[in-house]
Amino acid sequence: MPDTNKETSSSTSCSEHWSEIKEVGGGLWHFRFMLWTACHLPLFMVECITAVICFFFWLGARPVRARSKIYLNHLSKVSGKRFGFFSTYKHIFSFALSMMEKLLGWKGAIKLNQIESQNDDLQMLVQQLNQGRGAFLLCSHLGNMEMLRSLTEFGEFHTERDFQVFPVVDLSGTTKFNSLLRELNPDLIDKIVDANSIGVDSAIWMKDKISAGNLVVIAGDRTSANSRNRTIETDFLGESANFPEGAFSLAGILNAPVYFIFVVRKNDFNIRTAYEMHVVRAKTSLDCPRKERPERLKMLLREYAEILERLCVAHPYQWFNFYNFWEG
Amino acid sequence: MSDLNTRIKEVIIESLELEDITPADIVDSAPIFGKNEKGEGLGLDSIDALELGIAIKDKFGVTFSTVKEETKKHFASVDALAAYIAEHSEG
Repeated sequence: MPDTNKETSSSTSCSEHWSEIKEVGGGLWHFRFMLWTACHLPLFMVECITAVICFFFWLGARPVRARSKIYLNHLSKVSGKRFGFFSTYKHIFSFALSMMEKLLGWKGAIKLNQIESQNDDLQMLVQQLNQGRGAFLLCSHLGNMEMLRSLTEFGEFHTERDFQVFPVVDLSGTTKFNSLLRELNPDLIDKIVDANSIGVDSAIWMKDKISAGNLVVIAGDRTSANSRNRTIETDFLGESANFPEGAFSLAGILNAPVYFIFVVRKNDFNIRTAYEMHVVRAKTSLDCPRKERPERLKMLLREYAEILERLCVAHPYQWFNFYNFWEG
Repeated sequence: MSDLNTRIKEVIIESLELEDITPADIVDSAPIFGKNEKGEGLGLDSIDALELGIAIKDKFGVTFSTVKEETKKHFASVDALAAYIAEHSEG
């Protein structure tokens, strides 16, 4: 969760890279309290409590408000929708709900019948998994990217063959939350590939996992903390922004079919409603001479950014990148 | 040994589609990634490294340590890579 304690609350506070923004202050007990409410109270009350806590957080968190506003302003220009004074509160509230969701997902409280598939390429992916062929998935910080994984972990997926999901995640920013997730489900966190230490060994490992019919997932909308200069640029919500080159290159290196996947709450502020799962097969193939690869990566990114933009417009409060995404 | 070196160079050239470079152009002791102070080396980057690693594994059946520093050592030069493959290859 973004930090509230930063003193630099002027406009300069919006220029940090996300990896420089600390996890929110307070002890592990904050998160334990969240977990307790998520486990023991009706979801309606969980929402109410979250709403109240978020209100006070929002009051005190000027830098977070400013960062949220940057995103909402961009969104407003593209969608024509006006975002009022409380919109940053709604954004933070929606984010807090997604943390609750994540806890619920990790303890297996979310069921497959809560997820509505769209009329898209999901069937193609399922078919592929049934045939024992894996894939490379590009997800995002929109909605809840872990939904798919928590479901597979609890045997909730309707494929004929079992498969596993291996996410590539940068865990460095959220150590407290992660320690709680580890307690909740140690097996799940051990499947995570640390984005900060991808090397030859892990690349080979990921390729093997995909060949064995599993999924490797990485978010395409957050630049790496380690290699910030390895970025590719494209227009996003009306202005040029940097995306992580590594995430898209990995698709080419692993030489696997690429899908885009997004899971969003149907209602931004209600964790009792259904979720939408969007699965789109990438049209751009990276199986090409290396000379053409930079051009193909741009095309792949373009596809991704267009879908992400469309879903951000439809679900304005569910994109959880609380830093200035457009800052060079 | 030198035969293995040549095969490694061929894998490097083939997997990274290096144009206008023959195995003879690659110095056995020069760095594969980046360049040394004499300006020798292929100047490849970290993303190339991942691809090369996968190609080496496919061709020679060797895997690499999860300790990044160790793996880096094996990829220091064609000579270093050959020594590692000779020791660890399955056949």
